[in-house]
Amino acid sequence: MKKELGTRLLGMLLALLLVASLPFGALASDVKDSINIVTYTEPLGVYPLHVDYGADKTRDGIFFQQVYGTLFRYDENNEPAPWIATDYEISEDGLEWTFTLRDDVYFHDGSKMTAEDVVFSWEHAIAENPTAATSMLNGLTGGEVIDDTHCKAILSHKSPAFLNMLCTQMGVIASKAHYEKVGGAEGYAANPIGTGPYKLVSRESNKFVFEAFDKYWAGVPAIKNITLNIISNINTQFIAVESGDADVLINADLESCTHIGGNSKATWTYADSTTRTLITFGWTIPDIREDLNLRLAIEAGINKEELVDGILYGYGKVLDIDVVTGFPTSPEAGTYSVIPFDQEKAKEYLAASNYSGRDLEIYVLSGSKCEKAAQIIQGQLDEIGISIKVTPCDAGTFTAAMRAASADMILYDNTNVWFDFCNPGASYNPDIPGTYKPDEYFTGWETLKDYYAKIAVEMDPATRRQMMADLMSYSLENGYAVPLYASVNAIVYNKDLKNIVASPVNDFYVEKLSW
Amino acid sequence: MLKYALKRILLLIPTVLGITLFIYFIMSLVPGDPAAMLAPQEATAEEIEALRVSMGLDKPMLIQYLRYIWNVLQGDLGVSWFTKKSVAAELVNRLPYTLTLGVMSTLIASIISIPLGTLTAVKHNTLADYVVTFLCLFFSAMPNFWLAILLQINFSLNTGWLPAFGMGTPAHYVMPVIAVCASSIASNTRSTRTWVLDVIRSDYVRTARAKGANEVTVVMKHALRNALLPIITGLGSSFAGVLGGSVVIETVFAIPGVSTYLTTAVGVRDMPIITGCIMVISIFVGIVNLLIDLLYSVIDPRVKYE
Repeated sequence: MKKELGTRLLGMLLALLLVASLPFGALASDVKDSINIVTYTEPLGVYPLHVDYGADKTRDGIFFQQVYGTLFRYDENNEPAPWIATDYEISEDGLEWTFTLRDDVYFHDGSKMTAEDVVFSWEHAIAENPTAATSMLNGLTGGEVIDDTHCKAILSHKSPAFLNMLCTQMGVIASKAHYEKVGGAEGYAANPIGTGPYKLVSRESNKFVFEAFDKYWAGVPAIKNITLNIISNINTQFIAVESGDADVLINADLESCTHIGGNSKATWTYADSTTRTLITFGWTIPDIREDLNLRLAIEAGINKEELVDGILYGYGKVLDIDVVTGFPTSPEAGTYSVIPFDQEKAKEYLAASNYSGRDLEIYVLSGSKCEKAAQIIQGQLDEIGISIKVTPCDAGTFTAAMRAASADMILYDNTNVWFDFCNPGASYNPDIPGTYKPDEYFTGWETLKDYYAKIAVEMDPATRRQMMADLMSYSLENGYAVPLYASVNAIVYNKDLKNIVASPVNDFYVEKLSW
Repeated sequence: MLKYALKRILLLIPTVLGITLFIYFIMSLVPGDPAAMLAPQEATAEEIEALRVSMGLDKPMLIQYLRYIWNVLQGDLGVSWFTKKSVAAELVNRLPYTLTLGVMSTLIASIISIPLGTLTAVKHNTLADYVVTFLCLFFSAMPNFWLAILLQINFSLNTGWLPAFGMGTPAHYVMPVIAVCASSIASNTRSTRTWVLDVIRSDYVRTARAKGANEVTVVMKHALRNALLPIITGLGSSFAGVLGGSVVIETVFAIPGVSTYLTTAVGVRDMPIITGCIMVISIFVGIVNLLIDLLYSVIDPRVKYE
């Protein structure tokens, strides 16, 4: 009897403990303040102002957007909006931009950010990283400190895209004092600090740990701790998020996203991407270079809708021209020429060409989505009588062929990291001559250079758009490239996570998120 | 034996030198220019050439190799061309994961496969033998990446019992170790069965039985001990295989091990990493082989090292 009573009392006590613990349990879940993010590869540009390799926002954005700050940042409409800079003025000749800076911005070491740091960052980027600066700080020649909260950027030419450029990784603000203290760029990369909402706590081979910066000028974020996990395997990425071991997967594989079920802990979202997939031709190969009709036959013989269905499961967009919609320079539909999919027309072009019937090689990166796209194109062009050989390459062979324009065709993805297609990183930028001599091989090179040079300095948006429309028409009519499709940027995330928004340029700011 | 061990350790030096020279030679034949891969897409020919010079790639392959070896002799394994991180530091970070995976999977494979193989040899042509043989064939035929994914789906996604990726706690090792050792358990069980069966029919085993020794003594002392040499060799090879060849498992479970490090580096021709990894793996494989050779004399006193 006593034993039974004791058992009952113990049961009641346990039940009471359980009930009493419920509010605390709920409270505990309410105050969840950490997040586990998965990305596909290690961010290498931890000190974005000095990189010896190609700057890659898709790879590095997840790091520098948490750690560093920029003068401007894209708003929800993808327009550059004041961030660390509160205001700006442009001189009459358009060559001097004066910025007013916030007075409450601190670096992670506790020191205050001043105009000297901003000018140092610009000049340091130009001096130490000239190739990336040519692309992402195009036209900037230096800066002047006016006082602690005012500085001036000096440009060599007018730049309608300058605010866009300040949103990129080359627009991050580094600490001059820290740079000098740690002995230069290498030391800075080993101990990176910025003015961003999160401090880097530790960095291991496949894991980065961050914590919220308590002196962050925009307020301490709701998410206090970030663990960034590097997982290259797509299956594991998805299992990690769907099992709850991770909370967010950025740069998610689109095909796997479409398989996420309604009962999963995770869901996904996407945005139309600025990443375009296109074919460029091998200008050093005579029968490609000198046969416009063959290039036009290839353009007209590709059914891009099939590519969007086959590669992007219907989510992406067909590209008639090599510019996605939504840029300040995106031409209005109807203002440029289009070469639509038309097999009969393609056959006419082919009949008028000097095509010998040889296999035309398309180089693609082995294992990439482009390989599948090339296989679809192989079937399409076979229908009009063009024999295609798909050549999957390792990165070394592919890069070499691309730089030397030595393959018949190259099929690849090209990503714009900022919202202005007057992209100095684009294929025909006059400031960037490339490794082969395009002026020797590329008919119309001078015309293209001229177009780009004018668009780069044209301040009137409508005129710029029309110039871009003319450039795109010229490029299509002369068969310089075959734009195929624009893809999407997908994010997979835990359903309890709030404010997740996918970005066309892969922006991802954890400070905006909460549980 | 000490003299023999020292001799073997000294022999490792030319072996490692030969292997690294071979790697340099092979990589020099591979098409593609590391400097061109490293340079930004917009880089000019002059910038790429300058980068090539700064990386020492303008020099003949043999000069590059000798420079590398000179640096290694001074304790410098170099820095990654791409990440700019010290190769030695990265190997120090990564080796424990790979070694732990290798040691645990080899140990578990030994603990399971040797008794199981012996049992199936003793009970050959019985139901137990058929069942174990079937399972061995099943796991030998199953690709380890597929087993890894099945484990992840069942024990992480469906039940949440084990973490899907990463390292840190003992729970993190459960699935990777199973995925790595499943096939080696299968193959070692089969080879143990074969070797024990071979020995169990020997005259000296028959003699032991005739002398009235009990079955356990016959199997453990006379049969298994004499069959152990090739079995241990097989397990040593399995361990060596994990060091450089567990890339699939490391990738699936996002383990920051040496195999993944090496494979990623091969893709981008990052020579300091490739050579550093190969050198360390060669040394470990050499040491493991030496330990196995020394173990021979412990298992079988007739084996003498002079």
